[in-house]
Amino acid sequence: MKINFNLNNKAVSVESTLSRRLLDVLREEFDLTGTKEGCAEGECGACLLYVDDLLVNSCLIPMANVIGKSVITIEAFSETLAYQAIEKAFVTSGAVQCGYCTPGMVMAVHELFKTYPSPSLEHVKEGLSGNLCRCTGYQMIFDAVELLREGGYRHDQ
Amino acid sequence: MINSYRPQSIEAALDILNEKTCHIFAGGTDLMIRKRQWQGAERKFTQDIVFINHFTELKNIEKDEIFYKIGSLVTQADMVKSDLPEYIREPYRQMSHPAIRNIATVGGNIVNAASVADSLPILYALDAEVLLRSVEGIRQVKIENFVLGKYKTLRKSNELLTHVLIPVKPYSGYFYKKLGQRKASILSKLSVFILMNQDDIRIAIGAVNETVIRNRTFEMDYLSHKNIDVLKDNYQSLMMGMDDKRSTKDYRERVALNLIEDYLKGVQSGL
Amino acid sequence: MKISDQIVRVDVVEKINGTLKYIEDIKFDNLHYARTLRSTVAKGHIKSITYPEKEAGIFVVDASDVCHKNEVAMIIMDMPIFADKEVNYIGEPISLIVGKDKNQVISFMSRIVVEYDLIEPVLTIESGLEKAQVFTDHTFEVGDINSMTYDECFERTYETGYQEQMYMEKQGVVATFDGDIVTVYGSLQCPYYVLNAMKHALNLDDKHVRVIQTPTGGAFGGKEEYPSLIALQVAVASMKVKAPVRLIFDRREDMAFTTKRHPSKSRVRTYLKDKRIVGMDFEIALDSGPYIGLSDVVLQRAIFTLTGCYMFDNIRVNGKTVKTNNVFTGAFRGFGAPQSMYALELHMSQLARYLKKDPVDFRADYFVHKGEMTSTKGIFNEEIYLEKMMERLLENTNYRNQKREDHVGYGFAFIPHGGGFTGDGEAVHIKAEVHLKKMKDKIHILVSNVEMGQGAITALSKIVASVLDIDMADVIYTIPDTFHVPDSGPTVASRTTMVVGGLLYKAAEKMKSRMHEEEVLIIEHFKQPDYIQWNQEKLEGNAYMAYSWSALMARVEVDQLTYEVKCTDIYGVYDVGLPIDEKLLLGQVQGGVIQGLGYGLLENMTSENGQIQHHSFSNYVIPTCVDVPKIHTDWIINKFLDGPFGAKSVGELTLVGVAPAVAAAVEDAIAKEMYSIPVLPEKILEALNEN
Repeated sequence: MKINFNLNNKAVSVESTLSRRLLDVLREEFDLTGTKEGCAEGECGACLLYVDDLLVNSCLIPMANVIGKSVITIEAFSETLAYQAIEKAFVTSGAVQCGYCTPGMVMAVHELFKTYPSPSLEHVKEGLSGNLCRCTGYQMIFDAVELLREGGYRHDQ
Repeated sequence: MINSYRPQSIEAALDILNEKTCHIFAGGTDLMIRKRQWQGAERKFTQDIVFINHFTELKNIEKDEIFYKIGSLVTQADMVKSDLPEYIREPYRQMSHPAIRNIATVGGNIVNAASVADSLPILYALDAEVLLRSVEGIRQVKIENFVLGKYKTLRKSNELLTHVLIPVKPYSGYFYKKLGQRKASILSKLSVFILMNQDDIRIAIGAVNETVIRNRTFEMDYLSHKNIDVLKDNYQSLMMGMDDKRSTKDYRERVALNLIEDYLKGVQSGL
Repeated sequence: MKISDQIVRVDVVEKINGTLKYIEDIKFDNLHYARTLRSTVAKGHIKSITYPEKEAGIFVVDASDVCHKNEVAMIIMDMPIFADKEVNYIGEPISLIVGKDKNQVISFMSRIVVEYDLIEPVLTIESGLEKAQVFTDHTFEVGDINSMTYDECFERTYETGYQEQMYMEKQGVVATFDGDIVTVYGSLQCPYYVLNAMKHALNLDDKHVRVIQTPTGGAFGGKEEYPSLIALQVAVASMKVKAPVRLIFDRREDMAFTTKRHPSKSRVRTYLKDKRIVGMDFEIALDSGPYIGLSDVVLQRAIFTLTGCYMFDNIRVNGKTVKTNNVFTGAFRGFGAPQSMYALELHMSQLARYLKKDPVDFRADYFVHKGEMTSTKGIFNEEIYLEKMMERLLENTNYRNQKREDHVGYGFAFIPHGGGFTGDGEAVHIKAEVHLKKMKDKIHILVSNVEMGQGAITALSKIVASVLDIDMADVIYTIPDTFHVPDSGPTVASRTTMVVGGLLYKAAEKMKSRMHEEEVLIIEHFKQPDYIQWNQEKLEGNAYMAYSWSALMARVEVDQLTYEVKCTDIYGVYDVGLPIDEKLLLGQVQGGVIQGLGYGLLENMTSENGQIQHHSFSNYVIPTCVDVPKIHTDWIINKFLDGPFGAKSVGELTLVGVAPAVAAAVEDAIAKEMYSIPVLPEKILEALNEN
């Protein structure tokens, strides 16, 4: 059936079953490959994106639950001013090694600052607890978040 | 061929459920994993699916003099952000991780009835009840009667769990600890939930047995003699823990009792 | 550009904004999808396979489609591309089912019936040893352990389990065939391993097979030899189907059926006279699965790294690779050293406590030095600064002044790691060749070493840029494509910076005087330094070209009620020669430490009846950001003459040693010995129960 929703600030329509995963639809119908399947269990965070302003694991979302909603992927988020600050912080801190977890990590960092404008390390750990990274050991990701905090990250840009 | 339905109203959903047994799909954080399949292919659904996550009337948290009335589609994140007492919000805060809490529902955790379901100990301790609705009407069932065993509940295939009712009652202290294989984002090996008042104590132990361990007699017993060793023996006698991929029987039972003992000793010495 | 300049990595912006295409993101025309039919028994003969009736759009690719040799070329050709008459582990690939419609492929697969005649499998190291099912068995000795005099023997046995690499990007390959050339694209560490495997199996030459590495989302050894198997499978498939074929694993499939770290059993006997160590007898056995793969090389590293940072008058080391019907084991960062060093270093900690000696001072008595003999009768050619590192570690941790607290423990580990291939491997097997090309004003690096997150592109570019004193932006790293890059060897054994970077350094030196020319090509070949003599028959000589070193201390707190271990700090002092880039070094240290922490505390993976029990993110736990300790990193400079700017190897050293340091810290906290990792709270409770 035809499913209508808003994708990266544009109204779109896609032919899909109600049960098909949002992750698969984005990757296969819209060629938005920035969102990845790392585990298919909602544990690793590589598939994180926004549905109606909620950070969610797209590997678990059926298209039925996307109807009429607004989806933002890394592709759209990376065009915002807010993203620029995150990119700069990640580059400076060395927070990226193989890069596979990174788009999901970026989305989670943005969400973290929406919840806590000046997060403590405890807040940071809670906010990123659903993002697994096997390369960095997380320290430089914390450093990137600290840079953002010091720089007064504006999530609403 | 699997049929999927996204009915416009709860009544329409109940009609479908009355015709055939279906997967009821709310947040999907459990179903999507249990029915997992090759990336890109349809999940391994074995029955028709009824999607219900859009029913706004099941997304409210209400309160009257007797009950908190929580819609089954309220998410774990909603619970954390709500005005409910801290001893209800805290266990939800520790479930999984933020992105899952944004989708996982209160109702889903209950009807799934996994032995590791983190909300069940709290609901057992609080004497919660669930509302089940079908074309035949509504029935109200106590949580301890609703859960029959691991993944087994009293819900009939034509019923939808619509609300959870938690009696409103103030408590002066509580203790909650959930243990997993690591500090975050993990299924429970065991959990302990204790509520206390001058004249009341409630103890619930999760993930050790297939269902929550709660025993009113032992609780009242403890209030009368305040003997922690007797209490430990009592709860030990109810434990039927298992060795599995995540932990051992010995560990689960011993640590649950350690935690209970430590909390009660603290209370007794006035901490 | 100077080597000491602080820079940022050159390859990360596309990773952050999600535009970098990994193998599963790349579009191919007429792409077909493959899914693997796998053995469900640990050992048996395939009695029959009944496939459903032929369907339009579905292809079955199996052993009968391999045109030349149904063998995956590794060191020994004992592993088939597709199991044919027999299967030897649960999950062994029997065929690929290929189609364009995934739902159709799944439906077809669900109707396949395979019948087996079961054969008794070997499922443990013990039973493998009993049945003398051993692939390889090596022994080397120093002195004469049989005739030394001693008055005490301290003996312990240790066990380690599986560890899964858990690269965030799952295994994935695509093969295309245009009627003339078969090309494999994939998430790989070793494009030339795959190329050689394809030439061997398909009887094709360099002009007709091509391998192109795609951006690799983590590897850690898991994509070293394993991809040769799946690359061959899709290559055969694409030749049959005459269309591109893609194979990407599910995460659970990846966890259950691909290579992982060898489980090990070690027995260590230390002989003492007057409370001093006069001899050590070390035996180790590795569960090597049903095919030898790289297991003998893993074993060799495990044993050649013994006896660690120490030398004793009498040493006997024996190692065995045991053939079992458990999952096929293989390369993982550390490559045998994590297993042997866990046993050795924990043993030293336990021995120190037994002798009532300080764990650091006790070890220092036996530290090795430049000019002394190695355990394989080679010579430590380089300066060794273990005492200095020890002092620095004690200073940084303030260990001597720590007040003893209940349930808090400290543990140490001192680790060597040989850079590059064992023995004469670089000269005899790899024979690395690098190209450095000047085209107009850009310098191009052409090597087969891949970027897999570790920063190879940045490190190699920085070396070249620093020698030529040009801007990093003028150095271009060529994506490894066997049509364009020479074989500079695999991206393994911590050799990329030291060996390949070393060759690029030499090439750049030669380029310096020719920078005025429009086009220049410098080719540099590996030459074994004269001071490296190795006899592979006798296992004698210099096992490694150069050693990197680490000194570690872990601090843990053990919860009295839950027995959970919280590792609060890991202190490390490292000797990696000269860091090519400090941030890259820190990245390798922090990442390696957390993987080592997982190995020591969290990552529990067992096998029962040949089936891996923990194959999901929900029950195989890798550290989240909440589980990490504070990592304190320090290093000393000790330049290696034959390394670029003095650099030695880094990648694996940082993981080895963490597990024994943490395990020793737990023992310190609970005043009880334990003999296996991961150190789970359940095991701590058991240890405490034994009263």
